[in-house]
Amino acid sequence: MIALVNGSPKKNGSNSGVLLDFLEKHLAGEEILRFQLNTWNISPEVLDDLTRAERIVFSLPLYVDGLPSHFAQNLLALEGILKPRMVFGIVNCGFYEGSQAKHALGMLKFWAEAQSAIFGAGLGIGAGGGSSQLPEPSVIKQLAQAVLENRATDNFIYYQPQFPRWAYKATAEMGWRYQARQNGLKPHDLDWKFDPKSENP
Amino acid sequence: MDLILHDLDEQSFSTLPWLNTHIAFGPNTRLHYCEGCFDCWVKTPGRCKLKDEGYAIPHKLSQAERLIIVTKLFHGGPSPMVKRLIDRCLPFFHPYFAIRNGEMHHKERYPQSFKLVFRFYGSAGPAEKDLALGWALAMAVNCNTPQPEVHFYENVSDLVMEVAK
Repeated sequence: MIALVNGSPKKNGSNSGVLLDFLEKHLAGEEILRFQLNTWNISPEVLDDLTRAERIVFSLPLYVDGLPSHFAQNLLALEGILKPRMVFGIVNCGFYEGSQAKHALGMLKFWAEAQSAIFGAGLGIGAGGGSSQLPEPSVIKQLAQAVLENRATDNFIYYQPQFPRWAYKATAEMGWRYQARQNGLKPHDLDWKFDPKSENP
Repeated sequence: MDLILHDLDEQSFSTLPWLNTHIAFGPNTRLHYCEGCFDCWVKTPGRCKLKDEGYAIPHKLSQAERLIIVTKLFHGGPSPMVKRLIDRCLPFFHPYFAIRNGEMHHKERYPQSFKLVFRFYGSAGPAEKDLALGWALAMAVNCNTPQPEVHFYENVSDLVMEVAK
């Protein structure tokens, strides 16, 4: 069985989930179970199913250059319990460069190896914040092949979208302004600063 | 002022000779993890929606001269406890982007900068230490701070002894 584990803290609409949807399409014919580790608590049922997985693909967002803390907490809780043969990782970055996922992928690789698993492959997806609006990253198929063939690749694979960085930056910043307006804010409100003298921080 | 984010028990923490005025957040801090909702960027900019003991962390960071991170190594990264404290710094950053070291990062919300100090403890091989060093350097670029100070110790007693020297 292959477990596809969404490690985003978001309940719905996570980019980590979108990337797993892309991946799942390439894994037809395999027994697949989807899991969501969006909280600190792993239910006994989920744990039971997870322990049956021989291959696990974790998909998660990059948080401050590393693993999101609730996800790291879950990895700690699962130490010595999960015995997968192979572990794969997808880390999506809000930044343009997929290579910024390298430290988070490295931590996941060390965790996998400490569980005596083989780390199969790691994808660093740049501009991951736009996964639901963008076409499927070409490297997803590469990962699917590695999962299907139980094959380990030597390096992490980084992806950045097929449009320039300035366009991603401009679009993402426009997106923030749009969301701020929806919340009744003006663009300059985004610059709010903490004032230690203020009574209402 | 130094801002200390750590995972030491009370006794070890109190043994350390903290020379400067400091504010510390550690295992006794009651805080939820960052859920990545981005309210701190687009709804209540600079402020977290979670009004727990982690709420003040980004505000203290904006006043700090040094950010000192003391953490047990967890597979080449910080411990889940310390990462929880670090992730709650998100309101410190501005949603807009800036290009630094040829990479995209977040624009600063605050003009002033602080110095980063990392004290990792726990037994680890060279590859794991290399990863932790790489993560520390990446964090410094992300925070737009100067070259960080990075130290490794075999265990907490070594850390306490070395820092006390």
